[in-house]
Amino acid sequence: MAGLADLGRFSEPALHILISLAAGPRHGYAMQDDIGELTGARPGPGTLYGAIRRLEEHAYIEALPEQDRRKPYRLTDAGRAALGAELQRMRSLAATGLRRLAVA
Amino acid sequence: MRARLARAVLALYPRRVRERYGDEIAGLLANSPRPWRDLADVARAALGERLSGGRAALAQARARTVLWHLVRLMLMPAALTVVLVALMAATGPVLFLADRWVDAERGASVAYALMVLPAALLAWPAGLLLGRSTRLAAPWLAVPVTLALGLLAIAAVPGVGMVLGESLPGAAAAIAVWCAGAAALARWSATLSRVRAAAARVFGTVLLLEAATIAYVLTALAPVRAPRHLAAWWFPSAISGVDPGLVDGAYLQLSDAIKFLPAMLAVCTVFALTVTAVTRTRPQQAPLSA
Repeated sequence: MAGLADLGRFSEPALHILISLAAGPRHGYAMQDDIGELTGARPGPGTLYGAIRRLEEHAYIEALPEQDRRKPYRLTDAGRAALGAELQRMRSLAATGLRRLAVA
Repeated sequence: MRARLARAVLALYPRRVRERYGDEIAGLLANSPRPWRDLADVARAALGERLSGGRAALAQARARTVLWHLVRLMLMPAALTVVLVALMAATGPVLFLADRWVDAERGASVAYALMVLPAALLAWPAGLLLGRSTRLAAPWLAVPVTLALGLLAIAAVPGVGMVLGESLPGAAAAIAVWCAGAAALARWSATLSRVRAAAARVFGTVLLLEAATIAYVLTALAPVRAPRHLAAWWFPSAISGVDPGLVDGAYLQLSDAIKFLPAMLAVCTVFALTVTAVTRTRPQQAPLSA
């Protein structure tokens, strides 16, 4: 698996979207709100859908049938695996950084 | 006002992205708590999509151009074969007039061999013309390989392919040796000064054709038919049409077996070295960012 690094400048918003969808399917507006709460910065629609498009291309997420003129998205198995791998990588990186900080 | 502006900003997206996500983005813009910031964000993203789409289209266009250059190169052996055969056919009237003084078979053999010179002279400007309008990565390798594929395609055609030798495995072996040698020669001569490069190309071509002819005979003819100790003479005999009986101990048996292969490889060498000398190297493309 290539991982989220493949998504270039969209890798960070893509990670936020995957985390948001890990709790269940959501449409764009709900994702914006959720990511805003998670990170303190609500992503703009252009940034959000730029990342959604790339995540769909990588088959990390998929669109569900429209509900109330809003299209929800959900995580695929590949997306779940990519998110898991990315979070593990971040945890290991964070652990190393914190350990070194403590040593310093 | 804001709705019109939102439509204008959405129009900046490439069509396929707009058709797929336009309604959803418009919905978010309509309900945005910070509309101006979000409009700017959408405009920036749309221009980014437009730019990355443009890059992808440019990469596709470049790939198509490279493919077209390779196809043109691959067709060149067929074109050069036609030229060579036409030149050989043109010697007919001269041979007819000279029939009284020259043995017809020997005369034809030498006359055909001489036609390599005008064919090579035509291959040179054709190589200049084609090479100057061609852009390829590693032309020293791409050009010989593409020409070799064109030659193999001719050799594989039943009947007509015999023009490059009676034996397909023999022709394939000779073409493979030629391809490797031409690539090495083109690569090496490009590192030399102009005078040294010219000398290297002339001597290299002779060695290359000698090696290719030997590869053909070793593959196609058994030692009992083509004694190996005469190997060094196979190419000079095949290219000049002067045959002291190197195969089966009989006159013109070598020419019968190898046909126009050495002549075609000679013409293709001139063409290949000319093309590689003037072809511009295609710059390495930066990977497309997501």
